[in-house]
Amino acid sequence: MESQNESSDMLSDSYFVPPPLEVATMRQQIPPMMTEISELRSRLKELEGRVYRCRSATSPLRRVPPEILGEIFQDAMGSAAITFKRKKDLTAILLVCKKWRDAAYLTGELWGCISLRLPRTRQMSYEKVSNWMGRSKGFPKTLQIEYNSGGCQAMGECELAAPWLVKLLVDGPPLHRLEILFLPSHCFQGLMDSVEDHVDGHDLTKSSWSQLQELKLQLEIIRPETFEMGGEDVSQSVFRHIPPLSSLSLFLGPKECSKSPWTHHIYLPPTSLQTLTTFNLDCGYDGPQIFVFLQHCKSLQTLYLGLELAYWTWNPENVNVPSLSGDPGCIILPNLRTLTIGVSTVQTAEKLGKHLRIPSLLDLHVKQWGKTTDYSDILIALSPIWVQRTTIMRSLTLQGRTGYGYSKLSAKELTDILSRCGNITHFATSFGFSAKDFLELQNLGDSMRLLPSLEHLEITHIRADFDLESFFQYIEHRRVVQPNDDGQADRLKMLTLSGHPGLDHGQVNQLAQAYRESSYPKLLGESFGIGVNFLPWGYPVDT
Amino acid sequence: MVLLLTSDNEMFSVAEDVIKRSAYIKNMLEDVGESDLPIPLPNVESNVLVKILEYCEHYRGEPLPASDVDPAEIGDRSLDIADWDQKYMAVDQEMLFEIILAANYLDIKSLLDVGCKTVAKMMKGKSSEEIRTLFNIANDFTPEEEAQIRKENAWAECR
Repeated sequence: MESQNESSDMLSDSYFVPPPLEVATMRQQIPPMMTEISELRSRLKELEGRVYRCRSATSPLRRVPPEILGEIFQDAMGSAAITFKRKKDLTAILLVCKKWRDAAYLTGELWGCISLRLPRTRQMSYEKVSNWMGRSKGFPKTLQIEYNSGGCQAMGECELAAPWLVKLLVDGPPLHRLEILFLPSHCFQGLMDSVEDHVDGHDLTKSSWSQLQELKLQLEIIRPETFEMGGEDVSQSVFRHIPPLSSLSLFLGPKECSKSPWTHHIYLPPTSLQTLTTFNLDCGYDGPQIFVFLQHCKSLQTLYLGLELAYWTWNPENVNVPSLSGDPGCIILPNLRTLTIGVSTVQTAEKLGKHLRIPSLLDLHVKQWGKTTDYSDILIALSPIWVQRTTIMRSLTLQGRTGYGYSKLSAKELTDILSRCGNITHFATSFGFSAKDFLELQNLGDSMRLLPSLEHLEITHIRADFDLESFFQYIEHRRVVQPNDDGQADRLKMLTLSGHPGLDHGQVNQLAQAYRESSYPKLLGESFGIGVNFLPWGYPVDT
Repeated sequence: MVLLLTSDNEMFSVAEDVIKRSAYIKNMLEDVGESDLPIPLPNVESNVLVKILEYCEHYRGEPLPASDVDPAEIGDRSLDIADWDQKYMAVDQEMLFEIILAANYLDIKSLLDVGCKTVAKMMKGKSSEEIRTLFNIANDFTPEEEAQIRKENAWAECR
């Protein structure tokens, strides 16, 4: 043993040269050693495989039931629609093992919502898309299409009216929601014509299209002739086949010639509008058209009117509102609870205020993008919509431009607005204002407490130099100094303060430091039970 | 106090307001009423129950989530996990899945949700091979079966 060690020690010495006989012996020993190594390697691999299989077999993951695996898959995939890109992640899950594949196929939520960009260089397959969506079983199915009409023209044919999509809308599994974005109106017309041709004598009402519950159309360019051919003849309207829906989102982009006033009617079938509970209308022109739509929307509960660009073509003579609604000449939406209005001018607001009545309004959200006029004037103009019912309205949100150069309200303007808001319990604004001026204004005389029923106050999009101390003083002032006009204690329970999302890191720190150094949050909490939710990084104003 | 008996025969005495985060135990206590008998938990080992109780203790006093609210219904499929929950879930894989199984058995929805999100975060963006390696999962597909899955899940065909 000793001599073997000595020999092996000598072998490692690079100055040692073995005698020829020993070289021959050593060379003979190499092949059996190589064989042994190979056998050991093979054994090692086998053992590693067995360990892997044993670990796999004993892993508690094996005991995780398919429904929990399905939850994990849903978390991993998120709630957004499956796109071509994200489909790879789902396919990766399917290819892990048979148990995972089966669990994924059993999880209907994974399969119901897909998002496509059209046109594509490869031909979509009706069977494959239909089978994919069919796996969602009873879960709502949503198809989102982002359409590039430029690509469509380059390919020489309208890809939107492709056979696979037409067949899907006619024979496919019933869709709950369809979204088509960036859509030229003539392409939508082409799709509808193809759907009609495909049905060819069969009943369109039994098609997948007719079972839609929610529809979102974002039309890029409006061609007047697509909407109406002669007076109020609706037979040529691009929207004539829209079925009865619960939700409609219609984004009508600018018309081809935006400078001339619009005199055409846009026709939406009354049967489609009568069942709507949610209607989002973003209309870049011709405000009076909205009354033509709204006269039928008696079931509406949520309405968004985006009329920021409507001012230059608003011509009240275009539509005779009293003739639509009869006496008292207003459109009444009896079931509407939540209204969001985006306006830029007092003129637009006045028209809405004149012709719209919402007796059961609970939540009002007013957006003003271009600060071309005083905000309070816009609210005054809109106020006939709800002014008789301010006792039941519970929430008001005022939103300005959300870019960093956002709009501001003067302290007086803000005071005027709030003094008109009755008994709302929630107020939110993204407008900038001087907290110091506002506080001073409230200290004047024996002014009444603004918003006496307020429970939750949200100030969003605040900038780094916002005077938190003055603002907190105002909150304290509400509790301590101001007299109660009706003998009731101030009800404010929650303050939410969030920074502008455009603040840079230093500005966020500045704001956060001002908050940390203030003794008010603790005081308000301990003395008055008012919680302060401070979010210096900000988040979009609640819509 | 509530007595719990684990699968490895360890007895735990737990404050009622702590363990009521488990809908399973809560319902059992409401059905059976007060009792000196331990509640057997044949699917939970003592080391896992210790971990579960740590979670319940941490959230003691916080309102119980409504049992009928499905995160999918409110569109909450983000992978955001609270800081404390992330630290709590920093355990080996075996314990992670044991927690998920126990949370499922004991019907602690918020804990199950955190467990699922933790696993989802681990696997997000990984290939099937990487997922297998990560979780020690044996590939039981033949190459033909794999090809079939790929084919079945295409949306388009070559023009």
